[in-house]
Amino acid sequence: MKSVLITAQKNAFDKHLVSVFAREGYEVFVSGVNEPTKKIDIYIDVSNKRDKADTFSIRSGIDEKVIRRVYNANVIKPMKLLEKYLPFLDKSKDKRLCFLSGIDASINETRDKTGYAYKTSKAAMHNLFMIAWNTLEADGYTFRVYDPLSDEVSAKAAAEGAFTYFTLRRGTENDDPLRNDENRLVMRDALGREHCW
Amino acid sequence: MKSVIITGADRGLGLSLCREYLSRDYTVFAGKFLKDYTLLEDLQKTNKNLHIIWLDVSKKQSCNDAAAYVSKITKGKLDVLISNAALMGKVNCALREPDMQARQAFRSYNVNALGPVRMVELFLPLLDKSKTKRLCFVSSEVSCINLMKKRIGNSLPYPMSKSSMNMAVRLMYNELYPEGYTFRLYHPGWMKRVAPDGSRSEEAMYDPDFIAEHAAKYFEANRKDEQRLVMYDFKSNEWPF
Repeated sequence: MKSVLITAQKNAFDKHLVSVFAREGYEVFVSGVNEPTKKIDIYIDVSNKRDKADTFSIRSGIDEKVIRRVYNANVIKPMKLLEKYLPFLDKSKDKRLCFLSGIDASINETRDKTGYAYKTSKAAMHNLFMIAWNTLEADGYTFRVYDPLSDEVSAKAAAEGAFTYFTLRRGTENDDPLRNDENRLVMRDALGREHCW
Repeated sequence: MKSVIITGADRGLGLSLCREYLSRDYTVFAGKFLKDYTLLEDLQKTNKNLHIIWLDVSKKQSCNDAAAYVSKITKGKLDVLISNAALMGKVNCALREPDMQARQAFRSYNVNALGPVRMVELFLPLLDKSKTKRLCFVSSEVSCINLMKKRIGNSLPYPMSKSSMNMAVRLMYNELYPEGYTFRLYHPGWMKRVAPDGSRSEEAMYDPDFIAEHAAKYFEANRKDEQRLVMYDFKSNEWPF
């Protein structure tokens, strides 16, 4: 039986994700609820905090309390969780790491003037994903970065899309490294679109 | 006379940029943070246009105090802001080593990403009064997510914080470029470390004076494509970020 660890089940997307994986026959662990004892095949960090007060711009002035709150949720906590659960993933043959992010946290794409807390925290994580890929890819790890597009797509549909994206293998042809999409670390959204970092 | 503030000016690139801008007849405000370095004071002995300011960019009050001091000297105006101060080094924060010090990531973020944001926010009233309105940020090639090909070891916070800084610069650009502000992002390369007595380490390829000469030219010259937010290195190569 394949197993998945989901780091929280607080919001609608997380809860649907837990349900979808259970429905599809996975052994589902949720951090802080039922902890794994042996291995994890798929690790899903659903940390993706957006703060209602994260609306300031450089002109209006930065709210450092909001920035600290969001950074703790989107960076510090995920780093600690990853450290905690890596040994369980090491025991799996599948070793897939999945993370949530936002396409508005793409340095190249964003046209926003606000959202300093969320976007700077996720930019840090995007670099960490790349470093993690460099560190772990040789051990057989594969990665997924996903934006559930919570303003556009229902939590249920986004969770169904996440399940598909997180569990299927990406394109490959005859094990040719030049024709293997797993060799690229990319961000995709709930509509299937790929975005630059 | 034009004016510039340079953060992290105790040594290395910051100190060399002070020399460069003094040679270009700027009034230079140098952010001092390291108590055991007196190279700025030595430079000040022969340069009356150099003002040394105690500046900790991780603290809003310190940035605010610096802005008040500069405003008093320049009658409320500043032409160029150069954000150079950075916290780097090995901090026991690695993926595969036990007891990852994840909180170190916030320390780096607080200096390297939020420091530039605080400086711009608090100096905006002074910069608004300048015709130049130039914001310069010293970044790094390790901030470039697309080109991150390293494992980094136990120094995770530094590249993470520099990507955060790049994002903050993008958000500032989106707001301030339409108001007439221009931006410079710069990757200085691996420079020789400068000791308190001014001597250079043997390791690393480039002397900070050499890099500062190039950086100052890049920071000062107007471009014909100011609408593009890009990162240049010391060889004028363009980096994606």
